[in-house]
Amino acid sequence: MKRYLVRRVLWIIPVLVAVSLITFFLMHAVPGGPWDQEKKLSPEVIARLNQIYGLDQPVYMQYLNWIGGILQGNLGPSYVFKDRTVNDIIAGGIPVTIQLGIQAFILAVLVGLPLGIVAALGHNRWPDYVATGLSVVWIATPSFVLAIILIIVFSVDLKWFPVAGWEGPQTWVLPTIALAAFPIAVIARYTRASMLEVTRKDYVRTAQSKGITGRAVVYRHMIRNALIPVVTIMGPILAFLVTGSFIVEHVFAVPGVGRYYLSAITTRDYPLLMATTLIYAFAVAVLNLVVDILYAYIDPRIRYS
Amino acid sequence: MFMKKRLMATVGVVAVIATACGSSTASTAPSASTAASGAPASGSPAGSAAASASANANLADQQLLKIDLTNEPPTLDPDKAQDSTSIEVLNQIQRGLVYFDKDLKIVPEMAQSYDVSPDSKTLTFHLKDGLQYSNGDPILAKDFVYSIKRTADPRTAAPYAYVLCEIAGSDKLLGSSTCNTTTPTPKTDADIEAALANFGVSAPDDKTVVVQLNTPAAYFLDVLALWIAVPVQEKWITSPNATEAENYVSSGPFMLKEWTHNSKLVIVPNPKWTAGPGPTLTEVDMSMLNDPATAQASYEAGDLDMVLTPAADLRRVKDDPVLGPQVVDQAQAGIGYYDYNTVKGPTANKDFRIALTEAIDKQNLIDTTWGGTGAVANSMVMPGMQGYQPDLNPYPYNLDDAKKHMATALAALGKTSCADFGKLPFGYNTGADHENRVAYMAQQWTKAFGCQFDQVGLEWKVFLKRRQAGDFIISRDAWGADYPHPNNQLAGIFTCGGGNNSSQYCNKDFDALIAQAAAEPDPTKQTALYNQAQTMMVGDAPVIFLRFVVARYEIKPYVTNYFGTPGDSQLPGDKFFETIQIAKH
Amino acid sequence: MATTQAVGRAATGRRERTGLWWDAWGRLRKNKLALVGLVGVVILMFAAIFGPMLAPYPYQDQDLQAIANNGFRPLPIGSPGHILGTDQLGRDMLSRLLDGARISMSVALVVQFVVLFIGLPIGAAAGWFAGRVDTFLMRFTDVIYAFPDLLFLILLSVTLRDTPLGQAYDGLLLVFVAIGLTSWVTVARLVRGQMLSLKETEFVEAAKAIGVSDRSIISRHLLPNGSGPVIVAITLGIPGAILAEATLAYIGIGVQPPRASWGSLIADGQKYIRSDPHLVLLPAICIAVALVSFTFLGDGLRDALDPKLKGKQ
Repeated sequence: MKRYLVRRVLWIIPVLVAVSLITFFLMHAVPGGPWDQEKKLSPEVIARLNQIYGLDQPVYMQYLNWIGGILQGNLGPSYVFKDRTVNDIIAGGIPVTIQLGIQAFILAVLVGLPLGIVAALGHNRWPDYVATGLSVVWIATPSFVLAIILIIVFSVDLKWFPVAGWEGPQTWVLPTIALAAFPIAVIARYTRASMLEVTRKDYVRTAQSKGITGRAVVYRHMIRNALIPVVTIMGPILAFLVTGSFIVEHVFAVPGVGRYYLSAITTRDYPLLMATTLIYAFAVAVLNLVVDILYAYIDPRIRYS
Repeated sequence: MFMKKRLMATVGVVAVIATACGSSTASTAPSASTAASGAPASGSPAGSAAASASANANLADQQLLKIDLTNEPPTLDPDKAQDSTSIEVLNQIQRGLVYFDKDLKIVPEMAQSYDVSPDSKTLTFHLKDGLQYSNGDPILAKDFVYSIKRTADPRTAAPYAYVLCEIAGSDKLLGSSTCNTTTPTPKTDADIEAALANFGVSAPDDKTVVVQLNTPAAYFLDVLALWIAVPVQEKWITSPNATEAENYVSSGPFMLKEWTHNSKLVIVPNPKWTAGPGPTLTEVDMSMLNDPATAQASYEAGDLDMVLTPAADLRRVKDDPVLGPQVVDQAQAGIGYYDYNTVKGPTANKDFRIALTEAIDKQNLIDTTWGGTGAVANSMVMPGMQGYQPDLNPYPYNLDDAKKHMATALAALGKTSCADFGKLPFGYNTGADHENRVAYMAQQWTKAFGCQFDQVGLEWKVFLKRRQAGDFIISRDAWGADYPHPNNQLAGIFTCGGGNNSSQYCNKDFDALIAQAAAEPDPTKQTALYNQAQTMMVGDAPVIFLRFVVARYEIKPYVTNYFGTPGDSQLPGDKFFETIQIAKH
Repeated sequence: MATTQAVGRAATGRRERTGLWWDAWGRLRKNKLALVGLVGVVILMFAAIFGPMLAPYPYQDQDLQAIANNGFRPLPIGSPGHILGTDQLGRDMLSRLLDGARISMSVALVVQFVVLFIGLPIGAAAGWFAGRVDTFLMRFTDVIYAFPDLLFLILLSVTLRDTPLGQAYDGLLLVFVAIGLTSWVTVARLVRGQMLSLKETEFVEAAKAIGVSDRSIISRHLLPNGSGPVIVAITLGIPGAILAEATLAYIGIGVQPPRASWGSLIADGQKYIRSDPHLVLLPAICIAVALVSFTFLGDGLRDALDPKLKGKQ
């Protein structure tokens, strides 16, 4: 197990390198650069800017420079926010995105798990239909539509919460709900499915035949075993949340890292784009590792060499 | 969303008064060319009439203004800013020797007076007494000099350095293509320092600033009203994290109190401001809501006091019983038009272009796709400007005449129908609501002539490159006036090889007229020459003019005493928030 | 890649064989929800194939006169001549929705085809050859998996938009290929798992002992028997692809106007949600129906193809 762990952790590094390579060269392949704008800058200014930011060097050289910077913990300057470094920008945005992600995750688990359990226990009766129906609707609604509906109903009409921003608990509610909707639905569905599978398992029938009361059976056997497949889905969900649905951050004007995603591409702010990509890839890799470990821990039948 | 920032900058909401490099008029009447006769938005807006009279009695206890900056300002370094977001903030917290009044006329600000030399090439400014920065330091003449030189310094790579081309010695500093000269750009630090030392701004003493110009250009005052010419302390701007709120040094009526990046920016009155009347407002909160729908919802929920109405809501808010009365339509110095490719494809044929132009009912287009806001444009120079020709309309909407022109064109090109040209690439940039306009026009032309189009929507920068390369037969375009002078509207866009000429239009006679007009000292004769040039150009139909920009805003009724101008960055009155008052509500 | 696949991940390989197809069909028939899904999918296919022919108007036709008569506002549901109303340019909603059905179904099919085209060979090769090939291919999929899908989609679309690939089929071919390129990892892993477990079974060993060629074993024994979970994964991957297309449309990459997919209709319509909600509600309902149908069908298929093979997604 330990060897497996070490190997997996070490593997993260080449994965990140590969991701950074692909992103870097793909990014430079996109037509248009950071200094292209409608009212054209004069060639001298462009030349000077290219010199200042090292864009006048061949692409592979720029990549090596960037790697060199990374190794020293320097993510580079921002081409758009000229007075700030990418380190500053990311440092400002990450805590917000992580907080939003964690809040959404907690909400997703708190609502999704019971929803799935209720659906499974009320299998093929109305609790199942209602819960399944709800979760399917949430999966089917794109997040930007859900976000604007939440704003209209709860902010403009009911005035319960501010529309946007990130200042205090009042502003946390709507973005968290909007971000959690999809994970709630996914968790509910997977919980329900795995609970249903578990009910048909032999050991449950055995326990029931032994006379252990229904609720004890549920709590002790079903839920614990049903959690296994749910844990596998947590990984991608966590990654999805932590890197912030860029859409939720965009609509609610949450000052997180996800917001920089699209704008960095559009403005060709290469260092910022590289940094946000790497963070996402790192988060996904680490979270998958955590999930795999948890998985092995929970299911004793699984062994890694 | 993110596109709007650029669109706003392009729509000319920055009234940069600059010389077109290399061409300057000898006019000594500084603001004659900026006479805003008939300009829709100068003067008092609705709601301010009673405010000034019974001001104090009607004021709310909390003088707080909440607006949306739409985006995080890329920089608040005055010498490096070019973005409408940055400029909107800088207009409040930094001021210079002179500034604009509500009619966009130049008035003294930090200078109490200025002298113009007899040859109009030297401007001498005398600073007011007791001027201080927000940190208590005195504002010295050398700070103005430092700031202007820093903008011009090639090492700063300031985007707006080009407006300083008129200053003596600029050719050695700013480079040949920036200033349209033949002198090469200085390369080494030594060369740059030498050029800076010879640059025509100086401070003979702490209260005098002298500017020397290459040619008589009294309207250069308008350049000095810009954010790039505000005083900047060298020790401040060179210190680390200078533009963060805790270190920021302001010189204007407001000062920067708080800047939570990507979230909120707060300005408050600057207690050290003495150059003019101080603000009534005690605080301005600026949020950064990229999404226009979010901004609109914020306004309706009461989180914002002013908002630019998103395109999809233009009709709805006007018809709404509550929001309708809060709507304010303001003309802006901008125009929307679509380029024809005059060198490639069927649009190289003049009759073809005329046919297309006459097949569009522009008013209907505005009503359908622009929410009814905006005025029909049939020529380039904008209303309220010198050189505006309201009666110039050689190709009005006329389907029969259009078909005749098309028949002529088809005959000349050897085709029987427009469909024979195949799918014509019709380019536009995505993310800025242009799809509707493009679809509308394509449909009209298909119905009238059977033309087939490929509606190519591209991402902004990709679109710019493709349009510049001449890949489209028809492409979406727009222009925002840098300064209210016909030269800015005509040269560079319609001159041969002009930097902003996307239609590839080239008419030597037109170029000659423009050059002649630029050099003409007499204003009346100059206007006549520009009129002649424009008439010629419009007759050639290199583009189809569509709409002079009118922006729709919603403003809460308790926001009073704001003065919208065509030169606003993002909101009416954002050249001077110090006038705004919040009435009781 | 992680998020697009979160929706579509299905059973990983285990040792059980899939049942006979007929048995599976019997089980499927008894599953009420799955039947609902099947019916939904059939209706959608019908709408996609025949819909645009039955549409009252061409999807790009603008009824500007009607708009002008309506104060330049879109026509609401139930207007004369436009039973589902129009959009802001007077284009009939019913016609656009029917055309959108064709596009959304194309998304479903083409994307999954791309997914199969890439994922199947890679997974099969990894599972069959194992060893170094497996390690290399799995690390490769790790990289793809870690890559942020949205970023890849945007970069690809922006770069290739003005190439012939980017312009084909109103810009949709590029969208399909891009989404497919970011979603094949699940299927690859699945196929690999199936391959790994199946190749140890007795009948494969017997076939090898007889001397049947590797290729024959794979194509005639392993693929048919291992395809159950793959089919399920494909079906469950369709909702993800449809949603991905909607998200791309919201960002501004996707089908080229005047063509419209349900996703782009939602993305455009949500700006009018306060004044003309039918512009977003109608396509949203259509997408919901599609997602629900494919999800129920996929669930049902999974239950039917192997009643013991569930969970572990």
